[in-house]
Amino acid sequence: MKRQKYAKILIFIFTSAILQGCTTRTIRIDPIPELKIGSPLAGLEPLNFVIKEFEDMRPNKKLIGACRVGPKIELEDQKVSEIVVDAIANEIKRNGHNVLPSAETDKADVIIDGIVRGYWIQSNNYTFSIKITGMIETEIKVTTRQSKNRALSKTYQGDYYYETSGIISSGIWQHVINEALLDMVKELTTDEEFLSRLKQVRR
Amino acid sequence: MAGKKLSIPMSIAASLISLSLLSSCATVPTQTYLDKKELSKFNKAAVNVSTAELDVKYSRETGISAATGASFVFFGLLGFAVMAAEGAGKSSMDRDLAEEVKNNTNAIRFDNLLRDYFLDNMKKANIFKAIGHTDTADSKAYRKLLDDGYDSLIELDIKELALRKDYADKLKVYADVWGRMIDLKKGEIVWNRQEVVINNDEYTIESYKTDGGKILKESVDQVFKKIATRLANDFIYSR
Repeated sequence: MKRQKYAKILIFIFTSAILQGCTTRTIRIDPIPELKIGSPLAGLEPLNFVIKEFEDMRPNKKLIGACRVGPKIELEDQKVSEIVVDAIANEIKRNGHNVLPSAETDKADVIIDGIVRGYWIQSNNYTFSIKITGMIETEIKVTTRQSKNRALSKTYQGDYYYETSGIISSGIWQHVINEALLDMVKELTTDEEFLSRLKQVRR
Repeated sequence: MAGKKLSIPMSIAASLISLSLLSSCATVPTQTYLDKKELSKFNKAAVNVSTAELDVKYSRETGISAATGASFVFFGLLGFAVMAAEGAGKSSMDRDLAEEVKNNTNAIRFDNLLRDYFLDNMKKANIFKAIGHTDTADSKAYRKLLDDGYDSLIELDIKELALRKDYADKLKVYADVWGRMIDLKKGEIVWNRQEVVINNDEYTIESYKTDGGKILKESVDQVFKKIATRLANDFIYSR
């Protein structure tokens, strides 16, 4: 009888854990994620960047994710476009460059503009496991002082998978989307075409 | 008597749940980033790459079947047994798929791709006075490397190389690599970092199998090139 009692408690915990992963959630991205790894941006002479406000082209601005069965994941009073811009700005500043306010475009060596096409967390339940996928897609336009009429325009994507067989703690959603965002930042800052444009800047 | 009969499936279910909950408590190992001053102490490095077998997570990454779901609703705990059977079936199907992919790809050595890209980046950057590679990285090999004048060993461990199902019915190449650098004289780990890359392009399982694994090779090549560059950047742009 005792064993049954414990088993029932465990089943309750397990069911709650699974359901917890699929109840309506509002998350906040704070702090904005930052990389700690070596970056080729650090090998360039310091440049002045202006990062314009990105356009958010996602169909639903508040919604950022969904469980396969169950409700949705929403972002607290934050703009996805600002999170993406801040993450890029953090990486640029961390590597010794300046990020100027948008109004100071005339002082900029490099202007980055963009569109957010995707910022999404998806949770899927499999046999004995739950997979959470994070995906970021941005279209980024880079204009340098020397290449005003021939901007570099490219799509940069970031992905991340997280797999667990049990409890999804409250920080997991943030962790997954932040890792996907950092992957996108790595894609941009290690892209040879992007770096080549930056190397051509003469101040 | 009735209580005794129920206690066995209950115990099995409880054990499965406990295992499942415990396994989810695993934490991500701490990452150690490189310090420029620390790195400057090393002159000669050896690189070792170890790899996991190519895996396919296709069946395992499809949802629980309606039959299994229904078995939970109608038969309660027996649903766990049905779920376990379904899980075993899916694993078996994925193993077969992985074998088929490997048989069609002319035994490509993916670990060599990662090693060569990494060495290429490191040699270009002249981080060490000398850098080579070693095929073994056990304690005996450490001693031999020291005797041969190496003061550090960089291990790139491909923890997972898999074709994994994405949102659609296609698969992407997924690689999870842990890099670590060992100070051979002190036996200390001075760099320890994970790099996960998921390829942007996705293909059907059939596409990966055809043409001698051309698409698979290209996709793994792209993924390992990115991983090697990102890991090498830690050395090249250490601070």
